[in-house]
Amino acid sequence: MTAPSWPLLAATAAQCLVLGIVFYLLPQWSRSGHFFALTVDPSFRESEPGRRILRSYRRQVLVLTVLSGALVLWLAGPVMSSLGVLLPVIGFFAVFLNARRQVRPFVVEPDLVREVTLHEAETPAVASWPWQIGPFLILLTGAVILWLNWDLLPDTYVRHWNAQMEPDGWGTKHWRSLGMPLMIGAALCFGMQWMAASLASRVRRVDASGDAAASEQERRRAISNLILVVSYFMAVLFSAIAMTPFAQEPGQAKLALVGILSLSIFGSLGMVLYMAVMMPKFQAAQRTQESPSDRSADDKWIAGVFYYAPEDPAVWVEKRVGIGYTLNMAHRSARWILFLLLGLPVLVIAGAVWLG
Amino acid sequence: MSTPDRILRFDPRSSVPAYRQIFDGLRRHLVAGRFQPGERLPPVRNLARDLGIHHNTVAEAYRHLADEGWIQLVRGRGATVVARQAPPISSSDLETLERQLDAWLAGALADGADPSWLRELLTRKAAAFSSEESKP
Repeated sequence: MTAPSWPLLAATAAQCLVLGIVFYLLPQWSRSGHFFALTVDPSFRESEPGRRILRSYRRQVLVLTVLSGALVLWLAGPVMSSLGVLLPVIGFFAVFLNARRQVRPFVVEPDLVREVTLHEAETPAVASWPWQIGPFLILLTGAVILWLNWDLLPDTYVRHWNAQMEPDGWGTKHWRSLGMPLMIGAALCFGMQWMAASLASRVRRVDASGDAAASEQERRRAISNLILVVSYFMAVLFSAIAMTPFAQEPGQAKLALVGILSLSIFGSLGMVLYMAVMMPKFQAAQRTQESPSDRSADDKWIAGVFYYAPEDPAVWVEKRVGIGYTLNMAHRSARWILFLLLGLPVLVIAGAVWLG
Repeated sequence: MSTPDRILRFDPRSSVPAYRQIFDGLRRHLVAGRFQPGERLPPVRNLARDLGIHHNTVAEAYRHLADEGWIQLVRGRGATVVARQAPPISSSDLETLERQLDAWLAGALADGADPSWLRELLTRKAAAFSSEESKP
């Protein structure tokens, strides 16, 4: 069995590193009243037991990051390059659950009393339409470039490479085949924009007043912006993939692949850094202001990650871990949303393959 | 426009039924004149989502408010606050109210509340409602 090429190994190792950074920073992105997805006193994370649990968790994450990266490079097999990301995720999650177990003795009864400011109308935290259509314009530009340079495209082109970065799948010069990356990109961008719109109207408002209200609004805007940034990133990435048929010389093809791998890694790293910069600001604001969470009960969270509350009408609820929102899996509409978000790109691929 | 005073509180662990908590909370704001005629209450689904309760519960509270003449419910337009003239209260209703207040005061005193504090509380509440009501 031949070892995967070094750019692929380096990309897998870099993905382990990005995941490690995410899990390392994850506890500091949640609200001060939540620690490892459990309700604690807001000052708990500054206390000696809180600091000890966090130190231990971070030590384990660091060790796992180094181990998984080293394992990918050392074993360097095709299986390892595929499992290189999955294995650390399982490991990090186990470390997270272990820290959560240590926090349990310090859990306090969550305050479930909800207060709502009675607004006649809401101002949804969603980007304006020129920003929303940007990703689709990028993908459209990709399509126009393909169309204008149609004669320069070869009759058959490489559309898949194996782990050694050698061609192992070819496509014919047809708009369905060449346009597939753009269609997948469009499906993903549509999914992201639709999720942003759904969040704007269906997420439970965290009520606060004064400075805390401004901080809450900023928090929602930051999350909305993050979805938009991801959408732009997807559009650029899939447009770049759609351009690879122009680079058919072996040297050019490898360079294009390395470029796409680098783009995906540096893009992910950029988004992690954005969160790393943004989230501590909200943390600081919450420590000094009276800012409640969305008041979900601890026992409705499975492993601190999945929310299941049939009596709660909210379809989207604020995550207990990290940044953003998650679905209330007790609702049928939540299952539909999940199906559409995950299934739309798959449907596009299946449709393109079925159409030939 | 919303004011900081317009806060609705819901306690899922309270023995008071959920619809009653919503109804009481909203009526308190309406009695105090914090909503002007023509203003709209939040849509049922939005309020249900934010309070974490079923939308039928909020709809029931809104129906009770409409029955008392505080709001008008129009399909597709939501709940609009209307100018309400309080009906003349009968002497039997006044007697019932007095009995309820007696029972509540007796309960408060039995629980150890200070009589002077109770007197001050009742005066303060009555003054707050009448001053809010007199606002333009």
